Amino acid sequence: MNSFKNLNPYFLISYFIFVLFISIFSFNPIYLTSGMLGALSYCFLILEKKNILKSIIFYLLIFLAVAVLNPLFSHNGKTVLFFINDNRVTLEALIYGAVLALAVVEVIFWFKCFNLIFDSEKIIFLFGKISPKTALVISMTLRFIPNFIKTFRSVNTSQKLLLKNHRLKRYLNSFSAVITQSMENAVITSDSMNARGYLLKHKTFYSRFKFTPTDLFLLIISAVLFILTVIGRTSFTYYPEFIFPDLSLLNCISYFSFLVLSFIPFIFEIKEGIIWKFSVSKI
Amino acid sequence: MKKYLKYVVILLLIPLLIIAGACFYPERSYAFVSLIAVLLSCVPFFLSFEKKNNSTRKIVLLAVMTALSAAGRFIFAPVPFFKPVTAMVVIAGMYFGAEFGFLTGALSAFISNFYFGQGAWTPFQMFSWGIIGFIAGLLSSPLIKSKILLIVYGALAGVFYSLMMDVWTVLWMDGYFNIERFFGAVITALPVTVKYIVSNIIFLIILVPLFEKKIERLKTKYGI
Repeated sequence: MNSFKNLNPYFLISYFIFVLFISIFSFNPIYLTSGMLGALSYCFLILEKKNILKSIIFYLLIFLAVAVLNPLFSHNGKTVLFFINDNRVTLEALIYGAVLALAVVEVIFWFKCFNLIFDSEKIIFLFGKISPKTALVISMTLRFIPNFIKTFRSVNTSQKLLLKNHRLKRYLNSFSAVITQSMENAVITSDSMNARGYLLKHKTFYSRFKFTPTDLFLLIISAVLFILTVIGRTSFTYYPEFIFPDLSLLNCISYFSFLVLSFIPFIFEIKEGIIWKFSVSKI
Repeated sequence: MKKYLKYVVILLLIPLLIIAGACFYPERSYAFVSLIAVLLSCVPFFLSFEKKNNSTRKIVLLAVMTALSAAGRFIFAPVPFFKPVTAMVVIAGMYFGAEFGFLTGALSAFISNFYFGQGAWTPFQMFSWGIIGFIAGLLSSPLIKSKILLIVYGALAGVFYSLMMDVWTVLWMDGYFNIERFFGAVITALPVTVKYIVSNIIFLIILVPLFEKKIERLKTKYGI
């Protein structure tokens, strides 16, 4: 099954830039709610339900903390509700706090999706074109990390059996052993890279991602939706008074476009699921 | 002259931009101006790394140092807030140069966040650790000579990192620099800051002599 995750990284990164741009800049509860629903629906398809419920409860707590704390830090606004220690607590600050909390949690959920979709391979692919040396360093580092941890564990275990040191001292000793080994290996690795012709010009890079018509189609759709969203005049005023932007046709189109944009991963995933089911029943 | 111009741009212009933005543009989008400024400040380092005809040794060593500091985040995971990342970045700057220090810091933040979760805070983390490594590189000869200076630098680096994260929290929450919230964040983060300082000092005291020996050994063994 071809899932959203396996699309071309160029499309995926542009999609995330579109969605995050609006989520971060707009600060409008309607966009934020639709973005949140889009991110959550995708998470529900990919992750285990139990984990999602747990994280929803956790983020609900964050939401409440941010929303309730905002009036304590911000005393702007016209409608005074009550006073705490001579500080005004205003309705506007409360509303702002709620929207702020929504924005924080919404972006967190989009980054959750980002972490699900963007593994290191995709990042290296994106970097590889712009900055091949950095991409090389990143891919080497990603290989070294599990290696080092493995070496550390084996040294640590043998130290544990041989010496009766304090845990912290043993950790530091083992870490030092890892450093020595890795630095000497670095010299050997670089010599071997030179021997195999790393310094020669006209090297080529392998990548397994192809830019398919599906990617192009989705890229165009999301770009159009993004532009339609940006056109809307939907900025809210929070201080000194809460003003709701008028519901003109343009704004309605804008809201609807962002709703569709944030549901693209979900729709794609469902569509592919249905196709998969039909093709299985034919066989 | 050109060399110093780059330092001026990175160390003065960008913080000034952030402060000016905070004063003249007190809206939410300001947080993202600073985010972009922080990201842009990382660019010249990566560009010059790309352009320069670096030896393969430097490339591999950069990967090793980055991997060591990221692996350190896992290895010392049982001890909360006791992490060798800052110390490793300082050492990278001290022994391999300012730019190398910046790259190690920025890449350590970027890569270890693949495991610990990427977020909107990643650029700020990259910038903070990068600058810590960069300044360690500029001060390399006094830092190598004087142990006291090294300890002071480790403590300051812990404070700087913690403050930068608080600045980010405030900018992210309010969209402008809300002093009240900043002090609130600083006070709640105080125990963590102290732990950063202590762990930085301990790791620097232990790791610096070790590295000195190891580098000496590499020099005699491979003739670098």
